[in-house]
Amino acid sequence: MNWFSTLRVFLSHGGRDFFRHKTLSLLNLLALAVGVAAIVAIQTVNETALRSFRASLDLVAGRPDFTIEGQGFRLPEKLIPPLRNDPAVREVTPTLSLVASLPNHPGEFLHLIGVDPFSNSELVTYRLEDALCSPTDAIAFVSEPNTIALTRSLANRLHLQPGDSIRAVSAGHQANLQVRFLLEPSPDLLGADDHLAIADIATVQSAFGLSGQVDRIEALLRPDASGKIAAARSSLLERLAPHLPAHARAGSPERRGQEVEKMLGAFQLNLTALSLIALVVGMFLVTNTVAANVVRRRSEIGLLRSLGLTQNSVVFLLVAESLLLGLLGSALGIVLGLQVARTLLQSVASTVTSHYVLLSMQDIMVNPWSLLAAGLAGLLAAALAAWWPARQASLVSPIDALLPGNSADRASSPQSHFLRASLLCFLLTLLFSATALYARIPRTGFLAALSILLAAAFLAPALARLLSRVPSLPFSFTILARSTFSRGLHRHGLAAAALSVAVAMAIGVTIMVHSFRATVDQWIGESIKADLFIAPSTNLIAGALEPLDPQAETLALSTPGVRAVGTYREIRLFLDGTPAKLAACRLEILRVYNPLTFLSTLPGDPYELCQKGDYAIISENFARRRRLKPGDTVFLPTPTGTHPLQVAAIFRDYTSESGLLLLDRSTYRRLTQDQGLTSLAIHLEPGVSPQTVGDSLREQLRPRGEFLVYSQAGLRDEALRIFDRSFAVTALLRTLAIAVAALGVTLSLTALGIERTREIGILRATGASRGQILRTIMTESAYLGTTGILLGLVTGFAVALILMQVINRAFFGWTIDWHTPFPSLLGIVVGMMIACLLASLPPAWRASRLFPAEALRSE
Amino acid sequence: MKKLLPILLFFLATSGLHAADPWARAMKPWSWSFPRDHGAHPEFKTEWWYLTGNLDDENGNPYGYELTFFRHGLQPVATQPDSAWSIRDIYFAHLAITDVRSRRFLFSEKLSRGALGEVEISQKDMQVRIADWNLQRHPDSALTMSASDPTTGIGLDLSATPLKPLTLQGEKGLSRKSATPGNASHYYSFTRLQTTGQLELGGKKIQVKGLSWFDHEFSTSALAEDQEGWDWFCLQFDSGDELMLYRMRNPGNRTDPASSGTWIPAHGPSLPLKSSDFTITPLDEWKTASGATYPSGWKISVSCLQLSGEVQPLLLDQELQLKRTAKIRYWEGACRFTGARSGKAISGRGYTELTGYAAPIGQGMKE
Repeated sequence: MNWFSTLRVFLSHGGRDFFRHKTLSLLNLLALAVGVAAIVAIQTVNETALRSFRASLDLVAGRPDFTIEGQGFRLPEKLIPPLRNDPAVREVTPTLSLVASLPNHPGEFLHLIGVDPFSNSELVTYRLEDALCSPTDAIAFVSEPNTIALTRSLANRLHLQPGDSIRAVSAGHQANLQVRFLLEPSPDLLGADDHLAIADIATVQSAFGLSGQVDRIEALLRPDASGKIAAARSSLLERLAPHLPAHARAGSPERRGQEVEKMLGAFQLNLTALSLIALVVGMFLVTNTVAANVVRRRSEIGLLRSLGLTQNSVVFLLVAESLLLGLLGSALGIVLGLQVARTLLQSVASTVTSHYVLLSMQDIMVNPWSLLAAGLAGLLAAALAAWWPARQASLVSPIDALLPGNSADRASSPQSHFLRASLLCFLLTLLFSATALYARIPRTGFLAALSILLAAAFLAPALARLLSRVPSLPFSFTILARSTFSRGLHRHGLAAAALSVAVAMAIGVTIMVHSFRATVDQWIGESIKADLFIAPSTNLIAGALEPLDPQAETLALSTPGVRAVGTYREIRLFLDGTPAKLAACRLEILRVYNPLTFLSTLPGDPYELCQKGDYAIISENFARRRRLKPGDTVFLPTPTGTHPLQVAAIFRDYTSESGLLLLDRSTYRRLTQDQGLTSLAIHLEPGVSPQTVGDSLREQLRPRGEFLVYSQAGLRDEALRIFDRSFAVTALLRTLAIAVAALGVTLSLTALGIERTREIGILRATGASRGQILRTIMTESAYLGTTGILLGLVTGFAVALILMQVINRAFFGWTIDWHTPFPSLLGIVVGMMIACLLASLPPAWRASRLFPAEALRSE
Repeated sequence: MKKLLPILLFFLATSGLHAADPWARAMKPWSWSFPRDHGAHPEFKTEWWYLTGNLDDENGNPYGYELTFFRHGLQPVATQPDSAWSIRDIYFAHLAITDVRSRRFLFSEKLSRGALGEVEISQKDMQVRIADWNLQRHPDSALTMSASDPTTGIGLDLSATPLKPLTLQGEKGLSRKSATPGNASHYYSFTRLQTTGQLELGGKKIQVKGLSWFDHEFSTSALAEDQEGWDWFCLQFDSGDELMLYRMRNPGNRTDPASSGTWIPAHGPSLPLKSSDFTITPLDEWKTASGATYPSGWKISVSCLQLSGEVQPLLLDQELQLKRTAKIRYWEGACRFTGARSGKAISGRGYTELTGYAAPIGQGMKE
């Protein structure tokens, strides 16, 4: 028989089978779809985040051959002339950007970019000329003060027309910006932030007190003799390096994108790993169904074999059938996934903005290749899942297969294989945990999580067997259920495995998130002592680090009832190629009013060390990720050079994912020349009401711009809100896993119900009532549920341990104290049990409705 | 943004600050003082230093070149004094080389807002630099210039020594462009400069020598509202004489009566020419790929000099199509002259400038 006729057989048999068992097929399809959807959603959100970021970057900076950026601090514009005069350079253009709050439009902000239209014409991708309709406009743009171009969507939202002026505030500088031009939506603006506003660089420098400063310098290079840019770039870099300030980073513009990817890498990897686990669960389910399918169609396969179908053709037939299902499931999964991505978008944007970089996403951006990859993953899962049962089926001789009364698969695999595999996976868990923690290959942490899940999955059949040996309650239906459960282990083993994986994941993630939140909450309680906090509103809305109005500190100090004012300055930078936060505080205030929790220190008082010399206090995660201890040296690149700082102490901190390097304000200002402040912490005299002082400060600050004044409780709530938002996606994936598991139970029982039609017929014929059948099947489901949930519960704790002690440590380096969320766990256990019972209802109901005569027709 | 500057340059002057005219105007002859007046006059809106020349290599192959520096004032006082990027003037420069034998015409340009030392223009003497293109006058009165563009592979590095004292054009250097007072420029020339140095073409350096012509002109509103452009000729005769003629074109290709010229004899004082003293008659046309039509080849006669003859371009296509200043298109090309003066054959070489044919460049000169 050739492949073509096999295909015909496949289409007629497979198709007929599909329609005969609609529920089963649909459930199967759904399970796979959910797995694929999880991948599609996460990938799409991740890609949209990166592409939005890059679009905003490109929009402003274009695609230069060479860039210089100041990290943490701006660059002096005097770097430009030597670059212009370099023989390798064709064109040089600067940009200067800032985030300004709009006091008349609370909650809105401008991401204002100063450009030089004379030198950037080859670089920019946005088109301002559409907005510049008349020559007057063009001249106004470069010569009239405070002229800006806004995106049309922002202008509409703020009800602004060309000709209107808008008050913008940044770092204590106020400017009345004149909206003269509107940037129309164009393909260039796709995915870019609509808060972008463009102005001449002279306007931005003058209006916001930034003369002499730029953020980025972009250059176009001349290719060398061989027509390549790379050589020109590296030779330029060599010539330039001695003249660059220590904090300047120069080179290929690709680097910036790569850094952002790296920065978001851990965050995105987390999500990707979780979405893959959803697919693995889906795969278990498909295996389960195909196996059931094979058993059910044993005689049919026997018939085909006896008619000359080869063993390979049988495998082909069944795998192809599963692939067809996979195709439909993948397609459905892609549609579902895109929908889920849309709902996740804003929460991911906010998370990235509060932790990493300003990111604003309008709509998802779909990468067809990712969809294709997710679809292929679904197909691969379907094929892999089908392959093993198909092979089992092909091995059965036609004679055996055609023997009546042989419809159940008695030749289940030896238990010992599974136990050995389970043990192996457990050992792998230990190995991967060790490599993640000690060999510094953080990604293997996810392999550890996967291994422990697989270990549980392989253990499921054995546990099911064990449970089936426990004496049951002395009711006819429980006895019957126990015996059918034990005979259906070949099927239930797989379903229990899928269930346990899903439950383990749900429980692991739940414990981790709960522990983390409780730890952070506790830490906030211990470490936030000030009564009031003041920060520019843009820093919260846009995740920016715009400096506070310097007047705010003076104002706060002179407000009655204020006892002390702590200051905080924060800068994001890259140290040795990895992101970190640099912070500065008035340590003399901190030590008295808000002492840090030190984990280890140098001999002596770390506060004093930091106040008098080049010492720094580092956060625990900073120390862990960089393997530092007190006494070690950190090199800090600043505009005044690279300064060695000795670690005076390590303290516990949960404010930064990338780790914190804390200096005394005097040291910071001396080393960086940066006088800015990011926020103030205000300590009040005893008995003074924070509410009263807060109101008074708000009133005094109002004319100076838009500020957020938080009470202690307000800050705590805000911090936890950001925390919860950061884990929103995780929570959703957990829900998906549970949904997939519930589907799995239904699937398994439906398959069994079909398989057992004849058996149920006999029971009914020998006097079993419909109620008895119903109860039997539901009890059997309870057996299945107990196996999966029990195993999942135990594995869940192991998963939580791996998430907290391996993955967290390897990627983030935080200390998470273990807090068991008993009510949530109970909720998951009970909820899953109920789900199992509910899932058993449709197949049980269907089985109880069978007419004995019809069921026994095959006898 | 890509089209911003073209628009800006194109309409430059039309948008000036009308309220109280802050710019000086060429109403009466300038009180000249050199070397100071070789430098910039920022009180006027528009100013240029213009060099053209016909050069030959060692084998006698002819080349033409143009190197021009422009300053254009946007506002008399920069409005963002706190920023080094604040704009008062914009600066641009054009470089063109005609390789007659290979029938190649290549050009390049610079554009700058002059921030952070990108432009240096002295107000004391002729010291003009935009990025790495520059023009300088030296104490021995020689002009040196250099400019190159690796992208198009052209460049020059020349030294030009005046063989004659400078010539004030028009009425003591006041060159009227239309009947309206103030529609005029202050204008002087070095009409014959002995030039030596190198041209660069396709990365190849070519030793050349020949003659150049230099103009320095500053004004605030040279053109009248309805003028379309101009045809300008400078001719250097083998006899040692030079002729400059320009025809301002009014609507319908009518010659503005303010058109004029100057005859600079080999020896002796120069002779101003009125529009009634000469005729310029186009002989042919040349169409650009973009569909514009330029006159090509002229019959020129100056009755009072008993001079007549034909000016023919050395190459038909010598149109500058500037990318950065995309809407600025003009024809500036090397030409030769053959004719007769007082019955005796006379020949020479020179440059012709044709504006307002492909795009109304003249707009930029109006207010």
